[in-house]
Amino acid sequence: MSLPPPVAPAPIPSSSAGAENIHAHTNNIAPSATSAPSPVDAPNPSPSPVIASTPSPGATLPSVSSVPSPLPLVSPTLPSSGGCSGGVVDRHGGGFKIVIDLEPARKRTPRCPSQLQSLPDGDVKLLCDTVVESVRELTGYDRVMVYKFHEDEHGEVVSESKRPDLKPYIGLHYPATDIPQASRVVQDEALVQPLCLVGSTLRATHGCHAQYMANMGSIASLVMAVIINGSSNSSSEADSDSECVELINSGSRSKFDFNSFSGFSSYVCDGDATPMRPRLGDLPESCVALLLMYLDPPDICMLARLSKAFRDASLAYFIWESKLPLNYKFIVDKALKDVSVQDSGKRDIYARLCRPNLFDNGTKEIWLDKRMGGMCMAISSQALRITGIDDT
Amino acid sequence: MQKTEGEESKAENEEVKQVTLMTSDGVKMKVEISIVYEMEIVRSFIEVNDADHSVPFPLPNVSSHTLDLIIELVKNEYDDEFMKTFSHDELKEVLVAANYLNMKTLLDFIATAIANLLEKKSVEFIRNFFNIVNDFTPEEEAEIRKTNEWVFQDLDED
Repeated sequence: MSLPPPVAPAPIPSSSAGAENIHAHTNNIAPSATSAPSPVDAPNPSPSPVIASTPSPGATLPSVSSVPSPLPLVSPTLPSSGGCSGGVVDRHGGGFKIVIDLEPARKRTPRCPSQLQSLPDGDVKLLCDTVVESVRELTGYDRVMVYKFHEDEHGEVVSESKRPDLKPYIGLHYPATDIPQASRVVQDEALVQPLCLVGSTLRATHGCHAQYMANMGSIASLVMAVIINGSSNSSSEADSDSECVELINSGSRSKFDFNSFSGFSSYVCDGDATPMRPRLGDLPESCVALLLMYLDPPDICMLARLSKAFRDASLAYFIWESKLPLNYKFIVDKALKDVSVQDSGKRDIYARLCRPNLFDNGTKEIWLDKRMGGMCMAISSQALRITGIDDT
Repeated sequence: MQKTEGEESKAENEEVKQVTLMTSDGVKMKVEISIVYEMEIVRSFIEVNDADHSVPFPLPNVSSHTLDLIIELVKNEYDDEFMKTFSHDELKEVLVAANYLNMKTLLDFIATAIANLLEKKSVEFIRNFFNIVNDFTPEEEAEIRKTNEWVFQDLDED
């Protein structure tokens, strides 16, 4: 199986890209299967992951318009008890065209945690097979695969669940160069910080991976990690035209983590797994950032020195967004002449605004109080005018 | 008479509106559904129409002690006084569990409480206190001190 290398992306014609992937979900689908993103039934569907449609049994009323970004109007959850449906209503373009997207309500949501936990210990193959089935049932993706990394870093599809009419990928080997670098360096022992994004809510998928998926004709991708036994010593990754499961084998902790996906999370423990006492340092980055948000800037900067996790969390934009005054953009425009600062992080903007900033030919000065973020201003006597005398 | 009826219907309701959760130490706990509804992770499963409530819902990384604390906190409508009785270990465990269970209100509440605890403490104190390993090289640490220097200059002692 040879795939275009991610470094030299060859755009796939959109007509072929749509073929296998019309029925796929973006990764923020809710397990309740009530609200799918709206369909865009344009003549040339672009392979962008933001475009998604209902699973195959869905009764989709295509849009008469081909406006690529529908405005969500309402997203009602219809009563699902009568075997009815969930639906999304979208307004397109100028608001004159309405798209109604309906799909049958599922009888039940698969009970993945109990299903997975009831499996016998140590049988990774069975675990993988169950995972792909469950994930496909739950998400409605076209294809779910698990692929395993071998020692020479090439990948093999070891487990697969797919739409019946698709070509099977099971048993295929991917050359190492086809697997995004970011996936392969996950196990690099020189790296202290894990590259797995499972626990992260602040970072997006690697751009290289997104391009790779697009080259394969995928319009949506979802990555999940299975960590078996502690520190990462071998790993596998699953991947499909619309789906991606990542498997990582590791040391004393045994967990199956669905965290990347709709807040649905489950752990599989085998016999020797002992619950670890939590340390604050073990907290996910998003959780640390949340904690930091309740502190003043001087404390945040001090806590950044605790550890790398704290340093990274202390850069989160939402922390500093909440510290900046609401009209900070106006101040930046008005008082900061160097445009470069506008492209920098929110923390840097805050730092910059805490210094005295002269504006209006140096007759006025504005700065932020470091602790409270309050705005301070000084106006020179030269900038003051007396009505009737100086305003002529 | 009315009272008896009330009690009966209450007892009946409690029987219906309880979900069994199984904690990491194997303890099965019956929890009122109103509290369980705050746990987003469990909620998505119990909201399913024909979900089987007789099977205990496994919470493999929440201990029974932590779950007890969480239930008490929610029952007491997040009472500050009650939380002040928590040890620091308990605070941390509740924070981790709230994150895992995806309990938004509890997470905000406990994060505020811990943030108050961390305020104006020295780095060494907090590291020791929360058992955080310093994974910086001296160079990296110096770099951070330098980057964040702006915030400590001319800061009023208060």
